[in-house]
Amino acid sequence: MAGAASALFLLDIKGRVLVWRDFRGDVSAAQAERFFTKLIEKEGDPESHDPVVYDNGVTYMFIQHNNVYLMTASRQNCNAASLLLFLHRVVDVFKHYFEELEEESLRDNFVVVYELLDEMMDFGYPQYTEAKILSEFIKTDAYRMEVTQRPPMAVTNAVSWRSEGIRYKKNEVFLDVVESVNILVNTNGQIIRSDVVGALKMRTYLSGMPECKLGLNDRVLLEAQGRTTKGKAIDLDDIKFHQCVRLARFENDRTISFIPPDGSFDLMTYRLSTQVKPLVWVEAQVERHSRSRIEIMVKARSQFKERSTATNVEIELPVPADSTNPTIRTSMGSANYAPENDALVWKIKSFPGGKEYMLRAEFSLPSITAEEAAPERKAPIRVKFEIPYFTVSGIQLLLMFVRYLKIIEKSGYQALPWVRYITMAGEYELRLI
Amino acid sequence: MGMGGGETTKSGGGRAGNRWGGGGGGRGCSGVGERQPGGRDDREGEGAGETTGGCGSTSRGELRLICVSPHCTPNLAESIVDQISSSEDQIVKPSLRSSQHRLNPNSIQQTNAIMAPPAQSYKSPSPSQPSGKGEVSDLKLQLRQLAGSRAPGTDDSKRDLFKKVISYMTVGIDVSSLFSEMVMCSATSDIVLKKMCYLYVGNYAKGNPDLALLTINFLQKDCRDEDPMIRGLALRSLCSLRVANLVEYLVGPLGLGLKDSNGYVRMVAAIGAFKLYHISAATCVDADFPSMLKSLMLHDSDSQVVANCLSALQEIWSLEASSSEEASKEREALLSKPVIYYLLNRFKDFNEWAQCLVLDLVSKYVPSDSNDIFDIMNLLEDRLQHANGAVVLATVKVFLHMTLSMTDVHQQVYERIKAPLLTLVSSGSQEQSYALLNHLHLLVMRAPMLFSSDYKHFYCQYNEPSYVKKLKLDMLTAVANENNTYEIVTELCEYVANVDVAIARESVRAVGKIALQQYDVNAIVDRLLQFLEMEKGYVTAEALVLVKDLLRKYPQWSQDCIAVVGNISSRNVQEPKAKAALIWMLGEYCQDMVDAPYVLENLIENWDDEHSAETLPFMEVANMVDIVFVHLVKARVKSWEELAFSKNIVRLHLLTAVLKCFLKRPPETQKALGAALAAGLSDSHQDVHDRALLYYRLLQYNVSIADSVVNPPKQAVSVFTDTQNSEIKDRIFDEFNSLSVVYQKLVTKGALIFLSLNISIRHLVFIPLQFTHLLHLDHSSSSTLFLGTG
Repeated sequence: MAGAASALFLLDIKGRVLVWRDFRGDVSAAQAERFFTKLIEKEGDPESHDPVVYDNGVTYMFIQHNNVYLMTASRQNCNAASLLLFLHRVVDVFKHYFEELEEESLRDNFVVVYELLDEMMDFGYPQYTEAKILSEFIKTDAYRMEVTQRPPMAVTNAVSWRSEGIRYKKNEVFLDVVESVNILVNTNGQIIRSDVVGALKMRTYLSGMPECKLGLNDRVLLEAQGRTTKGKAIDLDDIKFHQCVRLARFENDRTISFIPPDGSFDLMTYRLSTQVKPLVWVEAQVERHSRSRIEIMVKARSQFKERSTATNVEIELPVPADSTNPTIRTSMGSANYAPENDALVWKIKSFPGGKEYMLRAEFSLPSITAEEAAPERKAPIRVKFEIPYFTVSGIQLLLMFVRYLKIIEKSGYQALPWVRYITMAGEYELRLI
Repeated sequence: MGMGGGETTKSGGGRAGNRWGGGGGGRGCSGVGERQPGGRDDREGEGAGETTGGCGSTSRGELRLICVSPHCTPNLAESIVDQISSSEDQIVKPSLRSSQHRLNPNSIQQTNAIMAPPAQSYKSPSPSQPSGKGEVSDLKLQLRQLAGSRAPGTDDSKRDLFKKVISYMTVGIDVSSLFSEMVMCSATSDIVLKKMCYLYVGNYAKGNPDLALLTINFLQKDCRDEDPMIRGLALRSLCSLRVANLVEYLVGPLGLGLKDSNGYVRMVAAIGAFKLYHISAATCVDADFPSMLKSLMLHDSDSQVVANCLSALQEIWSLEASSSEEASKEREALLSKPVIYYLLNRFKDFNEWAQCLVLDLVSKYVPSDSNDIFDIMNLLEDRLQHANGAVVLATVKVFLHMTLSMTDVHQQVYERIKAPLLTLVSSGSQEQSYALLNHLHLLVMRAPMLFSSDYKHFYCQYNEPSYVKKLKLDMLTAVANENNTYEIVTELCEYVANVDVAIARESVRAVGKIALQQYDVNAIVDRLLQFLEMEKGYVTAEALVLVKDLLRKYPQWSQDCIAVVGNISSRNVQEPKAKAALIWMLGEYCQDMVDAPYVLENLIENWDDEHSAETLPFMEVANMVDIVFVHLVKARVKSWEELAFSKNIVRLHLLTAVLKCFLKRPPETQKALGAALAAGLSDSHQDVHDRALLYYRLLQYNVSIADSVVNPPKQAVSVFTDTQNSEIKDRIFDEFNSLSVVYQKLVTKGALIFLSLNISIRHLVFIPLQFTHLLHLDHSSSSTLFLGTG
């Protein structure tokens, strides 16, 4: 049996119940609160605790978002993956309604919170979790009676993710191809893991029920079909589509055709495990001159073509705890000591390809250290950056990834598609120090 | 076959849907849907008139207050209010006072309520702290004023007041005394007000039968409202009341709801019937709701109605199945080919959660032949590309379970699901990774080669939470084989040096586990020995325990290990488990370690410091403690499972080690042995005392027998008992995509069932029976010490 949740709780940072919905009456708020406050007290840092905990016949699953915990309680053998995912969807929906989900926004909107929770889960079974669809059910102050008085759309509509009768003066589509590079380099400078996670992020402002067609580069498609191509091919390990994409069509003739939801969504995500050359390479040398002084020399190099430029580069260098008196010199950008993270953060606004910049920093260390000092946590160097108009997968092809984006609607309006490419650092870690 | 098959099946489904839709073709939004803003006022008047009439015919006398409609003149309303409030004071107030304590089921502490006043600052005329009575009675007054008013903007002010009431209720202030005013004020067509009122009555009706009765009448009326939204909401609130003696009032509205023209209402009604079943199963069955749900499930055009009927029926019939044969037949019918195919043909209409539900059902379906299997798999193939991880996982379950009997296809399925699963692990939330890694671990146990070349996906990121890291370490341990061991162990060594203590410990253990499951342990032993030299207390401690286990499995490595272990100063080892391991090695390999007797002697001198209160699970002890002792313990405990052995593990080990050492190197150890036995005999702990006495008598009786007991011929341990048995694994696999996998235990009806620990005692050697009399000890409970079973 799939198993249903008994109750859904929203708790504050100390584990006290803010709002809850009781679905089955077999787990009380007092019981859940007692359990959860104890858990938080005991662990100190609930981050480290498993998100699924069994206590006295009840399974609790929780996630944290800002200063709020979302938790389900169940007495049945329910589906952990699905309920945890559901909680994240709840967060997304709340964010859609309140901009940000935190204790304050919940307290300001108890009524809407109750309404949303009731529509998202009934008797412990998830119902609708699409913010756009839920707005059909939810009549907050913003939705006055005079404006909307239609039966809920989703239940009468073949396209459950899009309402009818949407109108825009200017019809536009924005398509961002965002690729994040995950890389892990070990202490010897070897890349031990690298992959690229890409997403086609769309924002649509289109009237009516538009049919969109997206053409990808042929080689991507051939590869996805399992045929080998000459030259370099994009080896997409795994593709996932938004529910609006007609997957059968994709399997047949390799076109991505869909009626998009209104607003922003991820049309497609993919993963590419290929050996990527680190786009930004960082080398660091640490010298401890004495017990009380440490010197760090860092070289950062951009390893991509000169015509591209990385922006908002942020290099986080770990330094020993309790370092003081930083003296920092950089050949580009600015660097600041962030004692709360035990790190030196070097920011470079613009970092063109094929360049190399240096940083030299000196710190004083406390000459007396506690006997029972906690063992040093050796953090890796972490790098963040964005490279606009650049894709890792695209560059392999020397061709652009997206070939065309067509929009067809019965009324025959002209829509403007905007396509952007951006590559950014995902989990980019170099264990060099 | 390809995906074309899927496409045609789908379109067939569309047709089928139309056919089945039949009479319901004109369903949905009749006049109600096109309600125009302009015509609202007129309609409201009409509607109210109708409802008043309707209500009058059904309501009972004392509930008339509910029928107050905007149609009434203010004066009339006023007078009714007065009339009602006086009667209401008599009816409601006394019971309220008596149930004050349990009235507040939210039970948010009063302190909480005081500390956290509602954050809103509405245009409230009284800005005072909402601390109690004054504020509530103020609200009561304002609500009463608004109840009869028809002035423009009334609804807005009502909304503000209602909001305030709801926030008070949420933070735990008792606002139940406003009940009648709230109900009166919501005699309006404003859906926002209605919703808030439902919330309010739902909260307070549960604890109070009088209020519940009032509520039911009010909600019953709204179940016949012309707005489908209101019908649905009222029905949902009605069914959520959970007051057992009022179930009769639910049957009528539910029956109408299930036949409603609007999908939203039917969707709510389907779950409502299910709720009714939970309150009173008999009422639900007598009203024939299960069969109505069934026909809705098979014919309704709205996919969410179908899904809700399905979840209701699954639970209702499996609960009924024990008592009624018909129900168990129905339960089986859910898994029959026509039903499964019907649901699959409509599959793409379902939203993602409903898809999970259907997939879960399909995974229990037994296909008739291989074509059946392939048809279903082709249809569902694209679900592996769905963005929702829960859908992917549910599809994986279907694929794995369908192909269980077809070994080669099953293998192909593993290959097919690999990439989607890995993507889900590395993208998405940490909690999702957690749930998925648990499933991957189960899969890798069944198909060890599955991820052996993708092991890099399980490398830990620096800022992952430790629950993910721990599971990744488990995965790395599980996927290690001849080809990737070197890289994995190298990576694990990084964690030992780098990250936080808990993970460092886990990493050392992981290296140890890999060592114990490999045949070629050459490189690993070196690493482990390096850990010993790292001079971090916790790393040394973990490594010592591992080296001990390693020596028990691979005695051939003793030379290398002992050389390093010999260099460790026992002073640097603090943790009892590690100390015990070190002492065991000192005793076992005393001939190879020159100063073993002296180290032991030192330790005995500090006998009193060795009082460790560490509690260990029994099998861990059984794994490390010598045979005689296990025997003693076995005699004492009633059941193996209950036993958690505690305390004095270090002292016990010390006694054994000293005796071993003495038997090998008598002259050097004699002094230490004497001291140890003396200390042991005077020890306050029974186990330590018993063991010292046993050794003492053994030595008195015959030294060579003592030798054969303490130093039996060594047998390398082939398998350690903590590896789970395969039967449990298979049964957990049956419950794929449930909590069983996360807990790695079987879960049945929410209660964890710990299958009896499969304790294999084949590596325990027993003392020959003729020596058992030596165990006859001189304390009162001696009789229990005789060994019952062999």
